Amino acid sequence: MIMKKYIQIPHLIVILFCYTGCETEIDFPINHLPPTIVVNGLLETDSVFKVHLSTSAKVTGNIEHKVLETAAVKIKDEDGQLFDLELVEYNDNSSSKFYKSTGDYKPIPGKQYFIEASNTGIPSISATLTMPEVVELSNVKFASDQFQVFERNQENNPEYPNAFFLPVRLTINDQPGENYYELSVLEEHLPLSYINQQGELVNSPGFFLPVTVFSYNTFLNSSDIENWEGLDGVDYYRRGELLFSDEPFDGKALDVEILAFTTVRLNGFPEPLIEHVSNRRFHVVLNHVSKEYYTYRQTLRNYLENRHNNFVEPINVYSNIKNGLGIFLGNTSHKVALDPNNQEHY
Amino acid sequence: MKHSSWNSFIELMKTIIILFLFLAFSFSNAMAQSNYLDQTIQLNKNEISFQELINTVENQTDLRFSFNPNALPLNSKLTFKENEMSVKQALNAFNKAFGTNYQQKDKIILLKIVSNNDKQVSVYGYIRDAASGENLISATLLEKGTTKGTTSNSYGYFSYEVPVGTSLVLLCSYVGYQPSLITLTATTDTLLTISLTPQVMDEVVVVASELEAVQERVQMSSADVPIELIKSMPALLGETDILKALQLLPGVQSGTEGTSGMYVRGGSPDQNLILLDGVPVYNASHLFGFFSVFNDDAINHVELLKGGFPARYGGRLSSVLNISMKEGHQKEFHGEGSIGLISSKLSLEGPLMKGKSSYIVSARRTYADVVARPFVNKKSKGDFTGYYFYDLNAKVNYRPSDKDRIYLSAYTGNDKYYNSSRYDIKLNDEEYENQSDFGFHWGNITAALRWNHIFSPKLFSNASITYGSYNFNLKSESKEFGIDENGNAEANFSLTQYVSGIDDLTAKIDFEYQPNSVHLIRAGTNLIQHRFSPGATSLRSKLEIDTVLGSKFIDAIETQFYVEDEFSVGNRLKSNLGIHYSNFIVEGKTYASVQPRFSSRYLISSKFSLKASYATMAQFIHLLTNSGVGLPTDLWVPATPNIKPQTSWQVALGGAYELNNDFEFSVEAYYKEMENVIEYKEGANFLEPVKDWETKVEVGKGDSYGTELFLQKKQGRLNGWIGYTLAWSNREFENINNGNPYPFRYDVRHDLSIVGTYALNDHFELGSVFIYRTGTAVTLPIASYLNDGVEVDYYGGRNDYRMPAYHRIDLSATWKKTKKWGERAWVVSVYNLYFRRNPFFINLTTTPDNGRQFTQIALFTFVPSVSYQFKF
Repeated sequence: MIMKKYIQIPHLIVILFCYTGCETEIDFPINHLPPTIVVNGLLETDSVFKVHLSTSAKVTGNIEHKVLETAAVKIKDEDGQLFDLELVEYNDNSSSKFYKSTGDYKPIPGKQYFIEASNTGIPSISATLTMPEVVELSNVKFASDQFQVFERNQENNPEYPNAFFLPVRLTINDQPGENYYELSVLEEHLPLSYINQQGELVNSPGFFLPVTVFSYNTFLNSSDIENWEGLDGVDYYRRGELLFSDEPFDGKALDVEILAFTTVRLNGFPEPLIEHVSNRRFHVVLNHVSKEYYTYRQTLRNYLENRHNNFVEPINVYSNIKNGLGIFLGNTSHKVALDPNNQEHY
Repeated sequence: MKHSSWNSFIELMKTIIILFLFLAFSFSNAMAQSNYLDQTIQLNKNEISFQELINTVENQTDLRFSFNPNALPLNSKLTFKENEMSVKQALNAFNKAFGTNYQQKDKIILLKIVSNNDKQVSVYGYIRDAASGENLISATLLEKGTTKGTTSNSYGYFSYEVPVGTSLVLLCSYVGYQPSLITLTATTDTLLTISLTPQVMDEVVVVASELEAVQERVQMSSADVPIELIKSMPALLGETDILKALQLLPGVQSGTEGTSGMYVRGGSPDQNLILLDGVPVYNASHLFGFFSVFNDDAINHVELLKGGFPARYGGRLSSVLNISMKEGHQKEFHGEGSIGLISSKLSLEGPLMKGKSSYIVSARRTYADVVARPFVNKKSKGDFTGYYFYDLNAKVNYRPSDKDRIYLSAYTGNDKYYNSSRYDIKLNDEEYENQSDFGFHWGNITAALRWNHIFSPKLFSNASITYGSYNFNLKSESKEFGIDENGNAEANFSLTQYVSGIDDLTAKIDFEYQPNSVHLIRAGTNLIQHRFSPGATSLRSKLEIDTVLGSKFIDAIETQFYVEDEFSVGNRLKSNLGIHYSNFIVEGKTYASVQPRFSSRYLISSKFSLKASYATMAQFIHLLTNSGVGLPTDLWVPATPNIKPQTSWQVALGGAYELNNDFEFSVEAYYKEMENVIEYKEGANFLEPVKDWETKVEVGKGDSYGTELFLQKKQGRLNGWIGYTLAWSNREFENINNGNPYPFRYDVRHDLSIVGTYALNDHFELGSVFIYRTGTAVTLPIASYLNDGVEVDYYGGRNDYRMPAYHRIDLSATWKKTKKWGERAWVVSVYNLYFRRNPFFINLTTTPDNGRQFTQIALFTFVPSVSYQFKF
């Protein structure tokens, strides 16, 4: 973080010198890339095939990233089994149109899958992935029965004035070889009915929120990625997780203590705080990811951190799509639920 | 096995005995030969001729002479005080008087006359400033009426060999000084200290033919810019900058607008060997590259080599920048300084022991932080931010004898940014005071202890021990003080510190040996202990974390040996042939490199010469950087068992022509190839600790080629140059740009610089600079797409586009006035006179209708400045 803070300093210096400088709009002659198919596909073992297709756009003018609705999309496994995907629309939001397989088949760990998509007037694309094997978590428990409550400065964070840390211990049972992991914690809010401060009855449906995770094992803290809004319009999509390589503990079981950092909204929830904690469950998720996924995340992270920094070479986000852009990757996950009320602790 | 050992022993003993017998025989023979000449003779009178001496010896001893009667001065007479003496004494007396010589073989003595071509004597010594005693580097000593001569070396030392008895008229000259004529008859080795008086404008100016003209010099691809010329050129914000002045030379590209980075013939800044008094300076810039670390008031001489490197230099691929600090006035106390918009500086110098020892101390500091602090504090209540940099140079020299000089010089410079804040927070119903400090600083330290010794007129040596270091330190510290619920005082803290750097300790010895007027041999060696600290982050807090991330130290040993001979073949051809050997040991791996060097000039006429050079270079250190401006976070890392040293070879061909007596014109074409240059992998996270930096870099190659034209005028009221470069520079990495070659970021096709200073009279001087160059290569996005819901840009080929061309004019006017206490000068300058909006970078910005548009950011459009200078 401090390095990130530091890297902004040259900009400040530039601003200082800009008292005589200026900014001018210019018409730069760019050889725009012709429209190209963009794939966003992340296969998971608990879901059928689902990919999002769009087309690339020009970088200048009013940019419109069109969802590709007329493409022929098929996925084939290593045994030659073919799966056709159809366009499915979620809500009325055009960005929520996905190509989804019609059957119940779900990707199998260890298997290779091949995607091909074509659309009239745009070059066809293809990509291949191998689903990683499942790596299990064990000994997942709260490290203490006490949550560390941190009262934050209300002036700076009016919406999230309070937060607390959940200390969790767990063991990652790594397999020999080059492996990459993504460790995250999801906070499940159970359905709840309560009377708000205006005396009205509120029925809150159940939902999941991601929580930011820290670890005392410092090499795990490399994925300091900023938040963004996911395709589903939900801001918890892969946020605050730990992404790391098994290089320091290759082939061994690694005991890890993490702190899940979560917040409590003031709006809509009555005091006391702990009552709301008791209304939640937490899910520790270990995703076994591919090297391509790790590279993609690293490049995406660097891209996001430096996209407005003119002092570094521009970064292309990793893509494994032949003749196209985007990603076609697969993860396998192992989840363990933790209930603050009933869970044993160390 | 025993038998074999015994045989070996016997063989060894035999060898020793034979050797002993041989030595004993040789010794006794020598003794016997010597004994013949020790025989005593009696002279029958005090004044005798050479013929009479020969007769006397043959009559009184069994020695016999062999000689050519026509070649010897047989009738020449010599007077002796004594009548009794040895044969040797008598012969030596005649030898000394009449230039004869003899050789003895048993009882035969061969007499001959020594021709003037056989016996040489040396005229040697130092060339200095008459007023301050400062050594003058690269001053020229010419034998009047000929093209023969020599130049002073980096320590002001020269040696010139002539036949004994030659009547010499030597013309000593140096830019900005009145030439001096020295008349002498060289009967024996002569030690001279030549003092030159600084030139006054109205006095006779030195004409070019009296200097070592460009066509005479063997060294090509070099530039020697007088420091006074640099001082009189217009400067950004009034800050005279040596590196920015050098950027105006052909073959040297600047980085981004206003910065002092040097890209020499397609090389990167880490490939420049920047030496301050012989010590490498690793980060030569302040304020993220906007100003160089060299305070011109403390600098005596600047020399840049872009190619044709002599064997004495090694360790970098692209250039050698040799900067020598002043030594301090030998006779009187003096000072000079200036007050500018962003910094002030002061230099003091004077004798410690008159004629024996002197000193100079020079300091510079920016003061924006000091000026702004009262306003910042008032406004932000407990938060304050500041930035400053400073330089401090010091040098002492001592002359224990005419043949010995000892120098101790040091430099330290630092940039510091700091930010502190104090605020209260509430934690678990308790009030705490939070104190947060964030800051970083970086800087260089150099120190050199040097001993010059003249062993003989023909042999000069320089021995030195030097220390150089560059360190970057970033610190973020947070403390909380409060009273807990039990009423106990409680303190929390967290500290994150990032450090990186490099430390060098060097022992070095160099020799210059001039056996005759044809050869000048240089040889030497140095041993460097490198200690790299390639980025380590320390974490400490009350939560019992005490961790160090990243690498600690990496030690490496670098050794270098060289020998070179600068020799003449006839009057037209002069060459420098040398070899440089270097060796680097790191983490159990040894790299060795043999680097042949060659440069030569051939005089077509007295005004025109052709030149050629070839040099191979090796560089055992790399710079990890992902910025174009030379940020202090850039990391120096060694070659490792996995990442090989950088290597290059360069060939250059050119011609040099002297146009009338005022102008020098040169043209050079060069081609350079570089291997094992590194670059961050696309997408590598360069903000993480660099424990595994080797996995984050790509190793590739580069090439550059081009032509440089240079027209220079060094003296008179009008000084300056016109330089033009047509060049190409490319890089190629397997995994960058799909493995295709791409233009280097500072690949500049056309680069034109016109520099001029004109002295109207003793009081007014005008300076002007015009620059035109092709726009910087830039990578721009060519498509936009949605990636996981995030709008992402897709970049096409690396450096596929060019920013608009860069050009500007700078002007300066200096008004000097002599005061009772010394001299003062007002300098007014304007940077970018005609408000040219030169692109600093190009961004994509959002338009009011939510579209996107390319936007060009210009940094300096018309920057006026004023500074006040004084000298006493």
